[in-house]
Amino acid sequence: MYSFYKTLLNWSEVWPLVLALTIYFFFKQRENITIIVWLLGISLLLHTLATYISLYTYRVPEPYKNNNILYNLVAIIKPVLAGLYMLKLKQLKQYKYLKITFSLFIVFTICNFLFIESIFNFSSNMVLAESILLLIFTLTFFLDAMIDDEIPLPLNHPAYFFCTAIGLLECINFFIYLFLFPVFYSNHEFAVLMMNISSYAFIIYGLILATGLYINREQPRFFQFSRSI
Amino acid sequence: MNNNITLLVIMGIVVMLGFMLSVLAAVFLNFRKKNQHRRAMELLKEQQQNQLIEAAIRSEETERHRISETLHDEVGAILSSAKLHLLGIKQTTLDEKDKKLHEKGAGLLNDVIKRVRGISHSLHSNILKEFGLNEAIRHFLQQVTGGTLIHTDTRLDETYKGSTPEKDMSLYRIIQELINNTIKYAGATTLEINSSLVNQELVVNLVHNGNGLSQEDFETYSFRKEGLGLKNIRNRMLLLKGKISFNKSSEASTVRISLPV
Repeated sequence: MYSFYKTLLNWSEVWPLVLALTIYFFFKQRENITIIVWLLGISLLLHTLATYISLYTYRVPEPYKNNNILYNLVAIIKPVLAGLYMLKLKQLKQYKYLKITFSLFIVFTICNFLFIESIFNFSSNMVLAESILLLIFTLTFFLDAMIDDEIPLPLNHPAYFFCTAIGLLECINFFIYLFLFPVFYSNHEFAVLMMNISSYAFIIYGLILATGLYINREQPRFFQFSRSI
Repeated sequence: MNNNITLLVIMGIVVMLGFMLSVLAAVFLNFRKKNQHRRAMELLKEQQQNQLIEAAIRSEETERHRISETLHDEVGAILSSAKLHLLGIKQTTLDEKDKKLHEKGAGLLNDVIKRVRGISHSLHSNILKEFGLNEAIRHFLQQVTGGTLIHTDTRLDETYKGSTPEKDMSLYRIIQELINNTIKYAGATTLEINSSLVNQELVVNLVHNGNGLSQEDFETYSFRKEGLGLKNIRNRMLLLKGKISFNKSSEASTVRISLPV
């Protein structure tokens, strides 16, 4: 039982995404979520490779043992695709500062990897920038939903699930990655606990996304349910 | 130092998570409030719409009564007087040609008096008030199909003793309109009206063998400018909080009305 739990936790960045993509694979979606699906697909690929490398380092050839580049790629791709998805939402189009923040993030990413940090080392700057950008976007989304007199989107719209998932993940990860290295060197046990918390947060993120995709389903792609009265 | 960082991280996560959960809760509560408000507005709109329909139907009924009374008391009286005058002409003074014209005129006058009386009764719906819905339906059916080739049959549930006068009047008008439509447009040779009262729900079926409407036709025509009768049916059904369904097949066309009583 413990080994099963351990396996679940070790692969926590993979199976929740597989679950979400499985739901997408089996059910047509009501709303257009192409960008979210691309995000899930790319994240799944990068996280699977990163997890495999970290768990089976001894099997991986020497030049590919470093999985930091994969996490850095996730830290770039996730906010870019999530940002693009949210900027496409009608209700967020009016906020120009989101576009400016998004552009600043792109500029920061380029400058960070050109002048400040190497893409081959784990970049806590990037993870923090990712968290800040996504928290600004998700909070704007929720605050707009509150101040709007009308209901801009129905509560079962996938954007709510997406923003909830991203918001919860980033607000947990923000402090974890802000102090990851100091904690790692000073209190190793607590660092492990923090990584476990981060894993739980990722599981919650994946499960909320999967729920959103399930609620947004229209009809099965490959089979039809027959309903007798 | 270590403890400080650990505490800071824990506090940071708790505060951030608490903040995010508060935002989510606020969004959810805000949505619930907006939904309640929207539902209240929709209810108010529906009530206003019902009041408007009710007012329109009431004014229509008042107008029908006014026309009916005018036809009966004024036009009917003048026609009766005209008949008296016509009958006052001494036939002995007339030649053969004039006698024929006199007879023809008297016949036509009788016909007009009958028709005016018929229209007046149909508009006034005295029978409905005095004898109830079932009798009114039977009477109307006999009146409009008498002398035509349509074979009619009524099987009405006699346990139905009537609802409120407004409801009965609306239902009667709907049935009148449907019968008129069947005679005018369907080309039917048989028409059957049956009703049943089950669990406080009155179901009335109009079945004929002509070319009736399908549900889709009803939805289409009742929203057109020229479909006034169907529009009235839709409005009255809305007011009665009942359901009307049209079914068309190669053998028969059926209109099913069900409403709570």
